[in-house]
Amino acid sequence: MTALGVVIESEYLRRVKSKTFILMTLLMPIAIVALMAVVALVVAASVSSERSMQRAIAVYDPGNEVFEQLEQEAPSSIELARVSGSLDRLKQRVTSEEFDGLLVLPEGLTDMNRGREVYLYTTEVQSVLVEQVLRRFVLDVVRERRLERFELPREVYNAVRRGVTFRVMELDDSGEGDRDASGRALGLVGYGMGIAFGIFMLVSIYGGMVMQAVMEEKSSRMAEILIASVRPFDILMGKILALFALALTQILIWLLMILVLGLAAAVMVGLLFSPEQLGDLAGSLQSFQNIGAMDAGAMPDVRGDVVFVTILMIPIGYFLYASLFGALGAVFENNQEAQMAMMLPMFPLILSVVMLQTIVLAPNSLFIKIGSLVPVTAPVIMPTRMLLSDVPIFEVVLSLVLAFLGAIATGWVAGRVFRIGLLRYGKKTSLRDLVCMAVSG
Amino acid sequence: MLRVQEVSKSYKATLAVDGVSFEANPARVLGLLGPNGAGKSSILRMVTNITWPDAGEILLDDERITHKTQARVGYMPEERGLYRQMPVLDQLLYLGRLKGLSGQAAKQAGRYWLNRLGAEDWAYKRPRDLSRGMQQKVQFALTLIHAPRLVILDEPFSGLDPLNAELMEEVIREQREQGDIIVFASHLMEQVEGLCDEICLIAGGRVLVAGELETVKESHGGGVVRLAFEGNQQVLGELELHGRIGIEKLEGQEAEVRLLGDFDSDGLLDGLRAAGCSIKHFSFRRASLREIFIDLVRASEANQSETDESEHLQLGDAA
Repeated sequence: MTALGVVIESEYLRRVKSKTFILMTLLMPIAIVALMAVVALVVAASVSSERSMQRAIAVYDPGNEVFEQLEQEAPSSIELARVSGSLDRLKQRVTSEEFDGLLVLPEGLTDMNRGREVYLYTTEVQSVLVEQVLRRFVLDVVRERRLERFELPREVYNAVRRGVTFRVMELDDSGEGDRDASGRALGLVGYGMGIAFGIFMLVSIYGGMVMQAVMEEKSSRMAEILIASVRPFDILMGKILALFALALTQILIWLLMILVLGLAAAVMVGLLFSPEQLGDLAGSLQSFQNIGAMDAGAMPDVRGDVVFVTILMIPIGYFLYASLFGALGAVFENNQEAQMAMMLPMFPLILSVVMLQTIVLAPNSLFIKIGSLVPVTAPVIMPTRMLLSDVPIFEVVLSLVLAFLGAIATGWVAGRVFRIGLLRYGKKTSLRDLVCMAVSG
Repeated sequence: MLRVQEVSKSYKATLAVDGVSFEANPARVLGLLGPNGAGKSSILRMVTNITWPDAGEILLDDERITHKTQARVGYMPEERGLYRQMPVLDQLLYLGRLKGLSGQAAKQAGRYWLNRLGAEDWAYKRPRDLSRGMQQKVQFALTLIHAPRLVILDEPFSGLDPLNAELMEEVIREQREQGDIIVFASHLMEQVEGLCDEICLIAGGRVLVAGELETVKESHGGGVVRLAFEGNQQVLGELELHGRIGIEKLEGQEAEVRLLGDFDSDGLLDGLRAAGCSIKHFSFRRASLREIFIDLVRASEANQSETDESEHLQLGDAA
């Protein structure tokens, strides 16, 4: 076996057998699910307690135009009381907590020709529910009162109330087939965010581990013996590749866990519910989905070429960043300095995540074009840009080639910095030193 | 045979190694001696292919040093290291395999060396649980695991208790019997004297003297005289002024002096008698390596500053 092979094998096996890895791999999905469950429960509990909390709202309606309708249509959690008197005194009744809020309706509220302002005085401005619930139903009531004044036939009245749905349809190239694409852009951005987040995690966790591993060898003074035994490049590459294999192992285990848990969940559901119940469940899920912004059309159907480019970009991006981290790990001795130095490669990574927002608005702007070609941002930007617009094939190829060359060049430079950096102790390293190392090797 | 030929190496502005040449032979121990910063470690790093010479070349059995020769070299650097968390046997296995052994062979060799060094109980321990001396034994095993042709030890005895130092010396002698080329760098002269067949003395990046230990001692040693006498002490001062002797110690009527150049003990006796001293005690011994070392280094430093000065003067004239 070559030295590189020995380094990969040793680094990989050492980590894959470690308790930390096994625990992290098994517990992480459980921890994430548990965390999400806890968050969901807490949110649900507080929302429902907010909803169920009774609120007393005083209504000042000098013209007596809408109070009765308000009282009829108020949600059960809101209790309305008509009040009169001076506004100042009424406000005091709110601050003394006799009422939770004071709704002040102007005279001539239902007047056709004038816009009017409705005020809610409350000490609870932080409660979204109070504001939103009240606003919606007060405005609804006022609008209806205004319509009623026209004494319209019932059909007209209903027709106006009925909503309008706006849908975006995507035509295929022949212009014949079409399908619902409403909310697609949002879904695609979500997908892009997913890729970006995935690469971000991969690079910062496993790239960071490359850095840690190199720093360990430096601080334990193992480095000199190693470099006296094998080429520094082999040591660095061995670590980078071993940790990539480790990442793949972890992801594979997680996928298997999801599959197994999903199957188990499906079997459980099958055992617990009858088919009719399941049908109901599916129906309610469907309606639930329609309520949300993401309806069926928003789920991006991802083209094969995008998947292909993504799959190529992930290892290239990882390799590029892991090389940078490895080189930095060789240069710095103490963790504090290294943490600072870590920001250097993290910056373009964070930049590319920030750029995702711009992609939605202008996927073919110059800024994004450059971002999708520059090797440090391309792994995140290019796949997302391809999702949102038709990118010329030569740009895609160029981006891949540049990223690939960039990764090779980074690896080569990192190897040089690595060798010198590992043997430096007790000296602060400036940016200039880094450049010298890269040049002089 | 390890052959270092006219090797120079500089770091930025400093010339660390300046045209150094020496040889190290199979079944011999070469002591690479020099004060701190003399360039010893720089030379060893070039022999192990960690850095490369700016000029000159280094040959191991007539092959230039490259990453291919690394597998034939065992190197114990001055800054020693072990993975803190990795069991001892695993470290041996890893290093052995990096040096080209198969997994099986590395395991066997690892076990052999742990036994030989009396460390067989530590195979599954981690270095953080070992004492410094124990760690050093493990590092020694790491150096020898792949049966290297050339063994390089940089300050191998620092931090070892006498018992372990003894054990390590024993192993070094065994390796010499087996025909290994052994180079060790040190500034502990007592150890070098007991162990080395040849020495190469380096200061300021240059070789001051190299050769068989005995030859060097004979040619550069001179002698040391301890004496006790009554009479005029000024004669010693005069002799020192003329560069005949170096006064190491002068307390009352007892003195220890070095004989310099070809000035011998007879000359000293004659001088003292001529000055009318009566001699109570007079004993002669050969100078130790330590003394030779100090003399040579001092002389070279003095030389160096003289050259610097004359260069300075010349520059002044030119201006």
